[in-house]
Amino acid sequence: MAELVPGIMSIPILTLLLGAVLVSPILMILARFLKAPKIVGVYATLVLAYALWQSLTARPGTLTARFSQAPGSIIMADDLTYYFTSIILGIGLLSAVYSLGYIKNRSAEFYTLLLVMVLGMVGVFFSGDFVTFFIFWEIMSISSYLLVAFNYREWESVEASLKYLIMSSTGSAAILFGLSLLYGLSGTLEFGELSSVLASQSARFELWNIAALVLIIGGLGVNIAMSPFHYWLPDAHPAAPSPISAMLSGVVIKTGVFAMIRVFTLLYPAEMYGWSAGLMALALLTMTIGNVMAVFQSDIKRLLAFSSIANIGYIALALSINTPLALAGALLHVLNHAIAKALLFLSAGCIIEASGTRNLDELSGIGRRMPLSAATYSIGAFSLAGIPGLNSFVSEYAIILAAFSAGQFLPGAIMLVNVIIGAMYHLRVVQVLFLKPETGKSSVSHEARPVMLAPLLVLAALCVLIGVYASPFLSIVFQLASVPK
Amino acid sequence: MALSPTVYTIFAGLIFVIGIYTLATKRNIIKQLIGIELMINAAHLNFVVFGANSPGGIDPYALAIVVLSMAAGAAVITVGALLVINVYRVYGTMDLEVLRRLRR
Repeated sequence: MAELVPGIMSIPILTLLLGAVLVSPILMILARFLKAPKIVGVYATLVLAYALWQSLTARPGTLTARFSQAPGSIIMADDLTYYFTSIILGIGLLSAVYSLGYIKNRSAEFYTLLLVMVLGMVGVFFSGDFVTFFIFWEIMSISSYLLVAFNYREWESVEASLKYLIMSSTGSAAILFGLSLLYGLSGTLEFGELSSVLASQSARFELWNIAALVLIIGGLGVNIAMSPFHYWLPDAHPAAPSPISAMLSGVVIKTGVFAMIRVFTLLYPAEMYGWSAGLMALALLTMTIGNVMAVFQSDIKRLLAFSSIANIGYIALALSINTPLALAGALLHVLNHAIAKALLFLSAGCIIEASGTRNLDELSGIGRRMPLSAATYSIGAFSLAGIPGLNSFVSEYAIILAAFSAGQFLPGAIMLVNVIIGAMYHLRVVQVLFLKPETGKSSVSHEARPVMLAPLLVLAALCVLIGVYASPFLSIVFQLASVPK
Repeated sequence: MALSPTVYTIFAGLIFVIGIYTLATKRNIIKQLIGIELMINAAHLNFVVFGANSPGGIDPYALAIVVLSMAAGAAVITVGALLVINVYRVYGTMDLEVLRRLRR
């Protein structure tokens, strides 16, 4: 099954990113020496653009590669891998372009860390065994902690980053403990061999196996901010610089979603292990808490962070329904939420930078001073509010339809109510930005620079494009969701 | 004769639970980091035990996992210590109860 390859040359994206990350510290020192920190920014943007091109044009099938016959690291690439990789690299590229205008101090260090974070996420998607998975997972987590604490002299960043580190590394430790139990049961951590071991009837009622499943899902749940463990997210995501908030809320939590899809579809089939009901209860709790808490926020970035928790609830609900329609809806919502949330955080970043405040009351009426930033923000907000004609409507509709057609009427109805609550607070922000009278801070604001507006316009165009012309995207996700396991 | 791996696994689970208890009850940030380290090392102990008791003799795979994961854990704790220093500079304390300015 696994073919032997001499190097990782078979995966050009991973090779490219690894090489780029290894070169970037040297370039960082050089840029400091030459007093031209923009070099690293341009370099990182070009690397991400080329990697995105590679990922979009890759025609994979399924590839499994290993480096020697002895047990060791395995690289696995299939269509799901390339789907997630394209999302990560796309949002990463747009954040990098945006940061060219946004990050003023220490931009050389910023781009180095950004490349490391993207490498960690892409590596998670390409890993074919749990060891490779865990190492790349830690690379992603460590660079996220550092990026949240990027303004390390401000109390907010430091406090948020420390809380994030304590919660998230506890989750990683739980995953590692679960993996050690899995290794003790089966003697391997390769996905292919594990799935055949776990599919046997004797493994099903093994106590240690259930403990491993609970620990791994709990650890991933911390990363994606599932309900009992969501407290770190509304602290950590707003404290980061805005492009990093967009990356964290848009794509880092989607890495956990990817891992959950891998674990659930590949290793623990629902028919045997019966996790659907538990996951569904947690998903409903997550979306309700996220939406209800978001209503009461007066800080624009904190509101968006709670909205991310709610959207993770939608995706987890779709995973728990576990029909092809629901899985397709979940995958499409991963894309839609990544685009819309990145758009919201980036345009909120423009608005916050111009006005110097995050308080919604002080931001009122700023839409008249910054028409483009506020208009793109509104497109993102309308999208997540579920307005027909924009992208999130398609996937939210698909998830609710899947719930009803699978006979889960109560969860579907709860999600419908949640989408309406979501519309309430998203539309309130748009109303504040455009219709309320101006305040002292908002009346002196100016429109952001073109290099920061360009990514906003691209993302807003994608929101509209997927909304009105969804059929190619739908066919992609249906193909992904119907792959025989 | 050797003890059964189950004994070691239960012992490792105990260390893991002690780590969670540390995280839940201690207010000092350094003690919280020690709790995380306890949880990670409980998992390492499990790997070593299972690797030593594998059917085909000692399994080098498990030992490679432990070495790699120790490096990752060391990096996490290093970043944590870095943040502790900055928290102390900004807040002047190591008490987690004082770090509550974000929760509004």
